Amino acid sequence: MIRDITIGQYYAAESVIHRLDPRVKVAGTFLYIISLFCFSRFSGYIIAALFFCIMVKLSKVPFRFIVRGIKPILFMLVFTAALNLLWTSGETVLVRYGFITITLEGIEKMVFMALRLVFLIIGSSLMTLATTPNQLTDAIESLLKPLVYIKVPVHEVAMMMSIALRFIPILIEETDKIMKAQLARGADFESGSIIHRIKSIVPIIIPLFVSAARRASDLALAMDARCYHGGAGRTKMKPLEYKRQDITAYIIIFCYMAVIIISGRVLPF
Amino acid sequence: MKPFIKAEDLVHEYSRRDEEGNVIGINRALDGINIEVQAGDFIAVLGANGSGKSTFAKHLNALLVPTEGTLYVDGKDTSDHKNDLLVRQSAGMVFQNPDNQIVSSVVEEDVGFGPENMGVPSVEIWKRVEESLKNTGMYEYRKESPDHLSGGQKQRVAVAGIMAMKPKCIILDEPTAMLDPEGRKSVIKTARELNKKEKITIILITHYMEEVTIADYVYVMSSGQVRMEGTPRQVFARSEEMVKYRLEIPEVTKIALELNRKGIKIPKDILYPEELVDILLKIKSAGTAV
Amino acid sequence: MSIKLQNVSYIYGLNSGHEKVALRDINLEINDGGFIGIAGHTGSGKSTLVQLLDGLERASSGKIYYNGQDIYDKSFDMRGLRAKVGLVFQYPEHQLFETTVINDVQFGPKNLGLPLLEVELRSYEALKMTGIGDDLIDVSPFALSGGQKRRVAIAGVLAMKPEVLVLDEPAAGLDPAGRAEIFGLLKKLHKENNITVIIVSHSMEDIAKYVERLIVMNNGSIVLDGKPAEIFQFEKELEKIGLGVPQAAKVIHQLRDAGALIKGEYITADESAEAIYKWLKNGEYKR
Repeated sequence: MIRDITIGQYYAAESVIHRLDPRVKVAGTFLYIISLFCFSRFSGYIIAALFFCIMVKLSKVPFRFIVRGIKPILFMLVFTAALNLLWTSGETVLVRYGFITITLEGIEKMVFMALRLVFLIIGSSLMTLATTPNQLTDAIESLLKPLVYIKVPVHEVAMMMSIALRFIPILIEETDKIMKAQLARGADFESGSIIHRIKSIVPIIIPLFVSAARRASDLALAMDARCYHGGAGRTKMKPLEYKRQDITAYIIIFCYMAVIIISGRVLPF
Repeated sequence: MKPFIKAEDLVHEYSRRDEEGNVIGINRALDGINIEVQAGDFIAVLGANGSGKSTFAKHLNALLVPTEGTLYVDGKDTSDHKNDLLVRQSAGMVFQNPDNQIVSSVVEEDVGFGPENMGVPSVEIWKRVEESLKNTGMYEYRKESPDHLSGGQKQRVAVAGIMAMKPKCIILDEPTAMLDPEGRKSVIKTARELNKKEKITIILITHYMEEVTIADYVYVMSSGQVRMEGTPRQVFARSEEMVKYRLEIPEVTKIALELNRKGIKIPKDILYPEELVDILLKIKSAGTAV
Repeated sequence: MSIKLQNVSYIYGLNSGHEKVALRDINLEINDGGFIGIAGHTGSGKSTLVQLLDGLERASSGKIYYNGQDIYDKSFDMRGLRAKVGLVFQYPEHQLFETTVINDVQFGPKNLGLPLLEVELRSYEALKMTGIGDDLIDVSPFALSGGQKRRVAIAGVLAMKPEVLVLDEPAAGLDPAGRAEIFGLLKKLHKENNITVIIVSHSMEDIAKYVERLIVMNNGSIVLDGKPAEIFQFEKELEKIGLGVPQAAKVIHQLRDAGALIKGEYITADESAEAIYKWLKNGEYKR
């Protein structure tokens, strides 16, 4: 039951976007995010929105799933908006209340920054909704491979990430079991002062850590037994190979980048 | 014929350390083991916790190195680290905890983990994965997450993962200790089929006497030494000695022993209920009971 | 002491679109002093049932009464129930967390708000009951062997002075000697301290040896409830629902199938050997 929670909420579907090589999706999302910082006028958002909506349509992921990604950062969104509203100095003053000054420029800036954050979040959401966690780790491992030359342990990090993904549901279930066992011994996680409540998670955290450490130790031995010896000489069952559609996707992304940058200079609004 | 596994006076010592890391004692987990296994055998190593059987299993897979004595697996000396990968490919190991040996979140990807490590080409990996899953009866679950499988099914996936490395031998270290009766049966059945059909040498490490009835040869361990060896029948015939090795005699064998004590002439090496029933019926009709 | 379940049902994932009925319409009464076993294949609902007994899970429908009181009544002391119905989960050693054995055992009584002296007294008593020696009291629980850790975990529940001790697969993962130790401990607690013991188990041989009343579950319902010796006579029915019978009972059944006239029910090795001996000497065949 509890194990069916997927991290990043992958939405399974048969779509053009789902079938793309995950590297295209990761790189594409990264470039899309950069593009959001390449213009300073609202026209940029119209182009970005157009591009994004086409992607969403192609991915067959229902829009409501994508919008869900905004919920966790709603607080930050409002906070950033407020900061921009209050701290932007400008000429057209609309309201003056004590030391709080709200200008037209302030409102413009607030909307602009808020939109940027929203576009950023929904872009990343789409990526995680249309790519499985394992595909994501494979893509990151592949894209970061050049970093091996400056001694970054790319393969090991990717292996750690995919093992973590495998064990997260198990550890969640174990946390549930431990909590129940401590509840059965009269533990109380709900009432009491903040300090009391923080202390009350010790009987859960410690056994969880011990268990995680034991699992890690067992797993390391099992990996040794299956001839694991690091990334050297390893082949992959599902090697990432670019296909025609991926090249096309890259071209489309670059075209989009070009349009956004040019329009930022050419269009009047 | 040269034995597949040969342990000569194998000794393993663990150092016990205190909190600062100073050695405060030595634990002789293996105290001079001499065991020989021929290729194609189904061997059982029976022992209670602390008997040294799991330590022995780890030596077979070159996860541990002898303190004294030697161990040859498939002709290779396990104390030479250069042989580690070769030994582990030729004698693969399945562990006790079903969850803690599955690396991937998709069954077929986990089975391919071993061959990936060995640098097997992608196309060949898929062939091996398909074959191993079919051999262990888990092919229909290949796209599942291991979280949706029962304990017994997870262990069979682990066995498939070893089979994909094309080993000559599989060591199973207490594979059924955490399973329910159904799971236990399915794992032992899989091991038995691999032994018979694919001629894989099987070494089953266990503390359940009922599981060794299908073995070709049994070694009973206690306190780091082999205390008894023989075919299952020979070992069961000496069941009364089992209690001092902290092992439990199967109920059927207990009944045979009890009847013997009461004066009924009945063989002590009874392995199955059906056997006991047959013998009892014969005794009754022949009237040779008294 | 009495526990009564009336028309209790439990459904997983209610209103989520993935509903699964774990328990359906359970009616059960447990009174003082028994040693009760609950058996069932994986998924039969036995673990869920056990968690309902001390309020860790709440029934989707139906009523549960402890000593005549409705446990779902707003004024009912749920925390107090958890002290009276001590639940020991599978692999209980995984819940140990304190720096010393004695501190861990004290967790339960401390949570009950008892005075320190009472807490210490109960903890020492509980450790004595489970056979943990004085030399281990100030040791880290993580330095103990598997079997010792388990006994410390059980002591942690005993220190709450439960009227009923419920254990889910108490011998899981233990070797034969470890199993015998744990069951020996449970038998002692039952006889000497008069605690009602309820165990969930897969092992028919263990049930035959220790249990006085056996409840068999299948697909969320109770299908059989009575003395183990009587229940094990239904070998074929038990096999159909994924359970077996002790080997000792199997032998007697097979002899009977072959025509032997053996009256009575025998489910342990000693009993069966005695019955077979008598039959060999004087017994008859069915014609």
